[in-house]
Amino acid sequence: MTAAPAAPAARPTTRAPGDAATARAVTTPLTVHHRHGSGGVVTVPWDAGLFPLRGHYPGFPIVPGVLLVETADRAVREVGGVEAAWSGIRTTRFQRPVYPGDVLRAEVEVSSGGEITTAKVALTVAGAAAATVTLTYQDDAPAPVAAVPHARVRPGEPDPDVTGILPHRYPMLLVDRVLHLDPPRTLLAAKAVSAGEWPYEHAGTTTGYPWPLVVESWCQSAGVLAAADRPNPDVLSGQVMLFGGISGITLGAPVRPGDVLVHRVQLDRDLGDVLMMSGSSEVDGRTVMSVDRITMAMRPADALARTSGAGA
Amino acid sequence: MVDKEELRATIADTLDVDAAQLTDDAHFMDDLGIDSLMALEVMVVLERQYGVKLDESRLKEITCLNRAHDLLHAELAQASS
Repeated sequence: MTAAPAAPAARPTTRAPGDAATARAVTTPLTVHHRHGSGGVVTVPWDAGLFPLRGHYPGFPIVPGVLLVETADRAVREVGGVEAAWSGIRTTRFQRPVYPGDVLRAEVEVSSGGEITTAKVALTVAGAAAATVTLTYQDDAPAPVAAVPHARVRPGEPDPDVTGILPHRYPMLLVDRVLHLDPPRTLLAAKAVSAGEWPYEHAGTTTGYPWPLVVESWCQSAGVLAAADRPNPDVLSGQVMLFGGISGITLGAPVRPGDVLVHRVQLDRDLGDVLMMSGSSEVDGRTVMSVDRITMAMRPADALARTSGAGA
Repeated sequence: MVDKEELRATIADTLDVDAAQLTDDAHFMDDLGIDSLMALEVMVVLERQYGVKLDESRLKEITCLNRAHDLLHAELAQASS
């Protein structure tokens, strides 16, 4: 891609590590294999010692789907030549879990249509589809619109221990407190963003919090709502939650250390083993992200067991 | 009552496929590789867009664009009668 014409208040076009517009959850270097006019191919290994994997999940590490989405964005920046702000996640389909030891391959295809740049990224491991991700980029994008009406927080709400409901642990437990729980339909949950979190090891405090972790935090809140009446903090037994798809996410102003994210989750459909939800995230009453729909599947824990030895 | 091209665009957008790929008779699962989770997503999007309530048992009827169109048409006709 050629350089964009000069625009007022242009964003930085070169971003050194630690000086990015938003921090990264994972900074493992990408290996570029191929570039062409509108994309290319990169690979990245998932080291078993990678810090966030410690808490996702203890005793059973799986690469969080949102980190695959982050890899897609990194690949788009690397070989797609896209410099505009990340404005949304149009669709994501998770087709297969990615485990420590796997090498993820990302094939990027970028297309520009007016103000919005769209990037399709196919993620594979050893030739098998792991996920497909379609991301959108747009400078000065309109602010996201809250997808659900505001719920009222009432005093005397139940105050469940999130670690009694979700299997996620430090540093990947990204829900701090349940503010309002009205199962099975609605939930409000809070997550305080801190410069003490690992993405800030090499980033300044004015740097945005990684969007994939905002998405993960929202999804974990959705998990609390889904599992409130069937808690299973043990990922090795019973029914576990898997995300099948995330669609129609609109991203707004960056979230920074010191912000408290308030996630609103609404259950749209419950088919027993498949749930569909929507909602939004706010900071100080301002919507920073809206979520059109996510699909969550409840599956027996043994479904997560590695079925092939690839990359083991 | 249900514009087929609008429906085609909606479903193509939901499935993230090219509208040209989504021919009238292209089978969602056999031809487009759509799984049951994505089929459910289509159903929920159609419910929202067309203001109808579709029972989960109807899911297996939504196998291609023409079938989805027929189903919506029948549901909307019933709702307005």
